[in-house]
Amino acid sequence: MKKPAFRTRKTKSKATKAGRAKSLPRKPIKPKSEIRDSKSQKELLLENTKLRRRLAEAEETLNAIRKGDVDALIVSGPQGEQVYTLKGAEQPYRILVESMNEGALSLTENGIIMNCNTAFAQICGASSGSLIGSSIRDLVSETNIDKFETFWKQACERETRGELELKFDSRTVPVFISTRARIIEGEYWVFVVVTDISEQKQNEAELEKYRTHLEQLVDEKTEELRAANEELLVANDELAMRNTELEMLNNELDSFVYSVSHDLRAPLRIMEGFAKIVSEDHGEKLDAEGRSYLARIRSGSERLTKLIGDLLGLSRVARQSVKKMDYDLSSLVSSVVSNLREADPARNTEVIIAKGLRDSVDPDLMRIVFSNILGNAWKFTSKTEKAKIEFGARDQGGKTVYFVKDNGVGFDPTYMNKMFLPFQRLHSEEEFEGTGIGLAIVERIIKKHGGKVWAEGAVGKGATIYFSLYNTKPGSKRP
Amino acid sequence: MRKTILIIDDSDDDVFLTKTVISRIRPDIATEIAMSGDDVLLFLRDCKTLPSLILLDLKMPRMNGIDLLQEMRAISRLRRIPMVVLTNSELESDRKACFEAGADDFLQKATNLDHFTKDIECVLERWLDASKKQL
Repeated sequence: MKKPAFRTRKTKSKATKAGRAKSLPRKPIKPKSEIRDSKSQKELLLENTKLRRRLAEAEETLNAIRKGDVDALIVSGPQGEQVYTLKGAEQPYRILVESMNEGALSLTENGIIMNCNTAFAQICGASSGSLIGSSIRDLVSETNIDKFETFWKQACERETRGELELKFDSRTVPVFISTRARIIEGEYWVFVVVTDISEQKQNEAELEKYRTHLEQLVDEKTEELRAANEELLVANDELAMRNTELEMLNNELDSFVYSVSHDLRAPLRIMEGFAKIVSEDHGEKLDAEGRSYLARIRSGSERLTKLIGDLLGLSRVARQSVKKMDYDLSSLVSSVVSNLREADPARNTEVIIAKGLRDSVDPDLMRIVFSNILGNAWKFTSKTEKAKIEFGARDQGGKTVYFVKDNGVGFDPTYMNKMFLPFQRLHSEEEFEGTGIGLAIVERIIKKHGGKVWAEGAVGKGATIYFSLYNTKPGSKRP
Repeated sequence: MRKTILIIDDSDDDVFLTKTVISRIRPDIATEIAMSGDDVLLFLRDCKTLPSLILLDLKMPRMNGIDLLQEMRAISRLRRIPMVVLTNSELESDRKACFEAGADDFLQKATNLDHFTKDIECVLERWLDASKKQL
């Protein structure tokens, strides 16, 4: 090896070997196969020794460069010896590279590490001395070799960046590599910055784990929900089916009630008609006893006629659809009261009607409601002195509740729940006539409007019938 | 000449009640009875004097009131006889079908005797006495 050329250093050097230049072998290793083919073992051993010596020398040189002891070096190659100078102004820059957190390397076109900083050595878990002169390929993990070759090809062309996995002994380290290729004074260099992304990868892996777990949870919950939904749908279908069945049964029952009532009326008409003809045309031929029996036949058939008429009314109401419109309930009540007064002009009953009460109702059906409720009030105050009936409305929880209040005979609240059932009567036929269907009709109509009907009262203290027309939940239903 | 009303109803009781009610208010009027559509057509073919008014029920076995109305209206010599339906039905559809088949009036059989009597009175007044001029 020749002595290096000498250059004056501009920077101050602590090193004793200051100003000395080192020489470095250029392309020192030929492919092994070529060596094996063309050289004898003795030659090889000699070569080996020579190479070792040169390597040692190269390492020494590099260390000297790193420490700033050397500012120029000579590399011998096929084109003769070449001088590599390290200008003094570049010294701080070298220190900067040395103190970086990222690994920094300069490599030959073949991937031989010509220089590396401490950070890279730390990533590798080795000394920089042991790394210099080795091939970067030796540091690439086996699984990444193909990837590396593509990567390196791009790196040598100009520049590239990407992730790779390096391997040191049994330890693998994921890194991000960014490269730049330059020709400096005719020499080809590849500069590489290496960032250890182990932590980032670990975080990513962790994140991925959480994400997978989360996805799994979401999948599980979705499946649970889907199953629950399916069950719900099945239940819904069943419910709809039951509803349809129930509706059908109800309709059947209604038509049954209707046709029975209808068919009952025909023979009853004959009975009632002839009983009357006998009584009117042939009554004088009967004695008092006979006439009283005939009167009983007549009153019985009349009652049955009324009952059948009411039943038909109930079933008619059940089948009728509600046609709502904005309607003056106060005048409807007035009209019903006028009819009651006309039918019983002898009575002197005070009726108070709140003015201007309007609501969305089916007027025909509501006339039936008021005829029944007011008819009851009228009937049950018939034995009351200073009879008084009142129609009004009050606010209950933001919803309108209408009422018809009377000071008649009242009722035993124990039986209040039965009041709205068909045929249920709280008074005997002798006390007050009636079929017990009126309030059942009222309840059907109110329900058809989406409301509720209930009553308050006590024996001898009058009765109040309340009703709402929408889905009201009466708070003080029971007295 | 005594006027005749033809009562067509499959129920003996109903026929008898209608007949009785008519005789109570108008004893001068004679009644003829037919219990089925076939009977009616036979009677109308053979009778020497046509009835002044026909009262017929709707619900009858085999040939019902509507079929019968159509049959009778097809016979030209019956064209001018008033035909009044007396029925238990309260269906609007029945009412409409009756008028379409050629009925002159449609009455629901009142349960109450007084009401029924009043209805018959009105029918006689309107269709029997008014038809006198036409016939």
